[in-house]
Amino acid sequence: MKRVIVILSVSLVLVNCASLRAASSGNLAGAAQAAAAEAEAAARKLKEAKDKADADCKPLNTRIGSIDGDDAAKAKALEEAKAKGYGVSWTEERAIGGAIAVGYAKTGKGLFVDISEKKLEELQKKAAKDRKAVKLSASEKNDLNMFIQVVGDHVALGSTRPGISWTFSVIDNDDTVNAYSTPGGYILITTGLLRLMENEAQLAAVLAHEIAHVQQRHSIKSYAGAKATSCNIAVTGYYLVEAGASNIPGGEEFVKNAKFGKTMKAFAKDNDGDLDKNPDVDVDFMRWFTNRIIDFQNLTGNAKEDEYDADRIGFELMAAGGYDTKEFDKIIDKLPSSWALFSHHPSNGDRIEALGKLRTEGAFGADGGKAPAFPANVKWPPKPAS
Amino acid sequence: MKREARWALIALAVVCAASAMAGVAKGGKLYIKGTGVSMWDKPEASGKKTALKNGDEVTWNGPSEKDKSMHEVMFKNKKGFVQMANLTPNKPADEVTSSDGKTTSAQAFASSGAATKAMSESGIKYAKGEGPSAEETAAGLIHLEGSSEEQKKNIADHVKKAGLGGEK
Repeated sequence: MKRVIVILSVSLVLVNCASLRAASSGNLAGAAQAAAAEAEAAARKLKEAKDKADADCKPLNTRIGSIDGDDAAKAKALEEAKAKGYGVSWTEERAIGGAIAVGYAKTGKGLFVDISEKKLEELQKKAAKDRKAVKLSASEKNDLNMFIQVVGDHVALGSTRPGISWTFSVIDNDDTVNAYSTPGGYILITTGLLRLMENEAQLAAVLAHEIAHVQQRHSIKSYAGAKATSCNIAVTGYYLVEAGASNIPGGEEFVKNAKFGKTMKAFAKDNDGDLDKNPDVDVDFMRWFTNRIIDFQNLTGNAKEDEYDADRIGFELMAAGGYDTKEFDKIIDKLPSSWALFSHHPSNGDRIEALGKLRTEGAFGADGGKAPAFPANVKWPPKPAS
Repeated sequence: MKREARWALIALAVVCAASAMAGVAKGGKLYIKGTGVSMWDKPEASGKKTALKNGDEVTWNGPSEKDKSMHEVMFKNKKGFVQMANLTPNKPADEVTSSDGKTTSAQAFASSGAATKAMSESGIKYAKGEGPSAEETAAGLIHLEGSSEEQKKNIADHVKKAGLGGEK
């Protein structure tokens, strides 16, 4: 009896007519049977919608190496996906990278920069003609930005991607000690982290670590994974709504995102993922899509092995810039230990130990670099936020 | 999971992390980075020199004892010294240009002008959706993109002033 009542309660919550009719007529067994049948129908509809979404989003999942098969086939698919850059073209990388960079940079007090023209339309026109037409005026903040750009571009010249247009910027946020990299070569660093630095080599170390993430396409891997998941969710929702099954139990999360299903379907199919050329990509879609990507990245972070990878390549990039790699250890040692507790970063001690191993082995970068003081024209540390 | 199996997995993870940290050892390959790079016959940036091109492959023999910022290399069976800031383990890689993984060479990519594309329409749409502070942020990034292009011509000067490299 107890079970019948529970089933009845569930069916009432689900507001289903057949079971309600049976219950109201006093036929509890019939109500339970009807509820079970309805639950089965709902599960079937959900499965059908998911299957259709799987088919539509398959190209995106294949591009990240997510396939059905045995372990050997999966490992091979992963390798192929990596070799093909997870199917994210430069056009797509740059488009989503800019949006994600805006998402990160608007945190705290926004960008630590003085700008003359704030109207986006005007700037777009100028930048579309010649990006050099949009310049920074002289100020303390801008001197700092220009210095960071020179150091960043110098370090990036030693990477496997010297030809992409790197953008280095500072986020006005003293409370957060962090640096970010996005697809497309946007590197952002907080004033909170800049304040910990004692010389140019320590700045180069942080920039080199972030450049390494972009070089190794770690952020692209994360983006491509989040894109495939978003596709499956939104397209499942789209099919549930199409089938008139918006209210079925278990479908809430899908239906909530259904309005973006059509665009994600097209995105999975076509045009090398060029968001700019897709007429369905509007303001609403970009908000939904970009914030999902950022949430996903914040939730999962980079894998631990990717962090070690970025440290090794960062070490080499520092050396290729002529910097003393021992300054890398010093800045890691100043980072809050919470980085390792709440993210996928290895502990500071483990990172320093791994870098020490490179020196013990006499690897390129073990010896011979410099740690220049900050230039006299750059006010350091950056002026505290008012 | 049994304790032994757990320890085996931890050991494997440590080995994997350690192997990910292998750097370039003496005798390994490095590439020349920059334009107007010289290979000197002695470990100092003056005297007799051989001109090297961006992307030339050299064998790395380690830093000189006399000046550790000068590194001994072999280029086409000729021994010489190159400044550390002109060496890199990374050869420019091809860029992915389509979703099926097709690539174009780094050189062709750079000369196509594709790389200098500024903040995209999609980035602007996102900023507009997020409100005024995001729009101002996007405007700031567009300024920084323009400034970054300008700053590239100052790299060589900065490298010399900071003592990271350059001819004496």
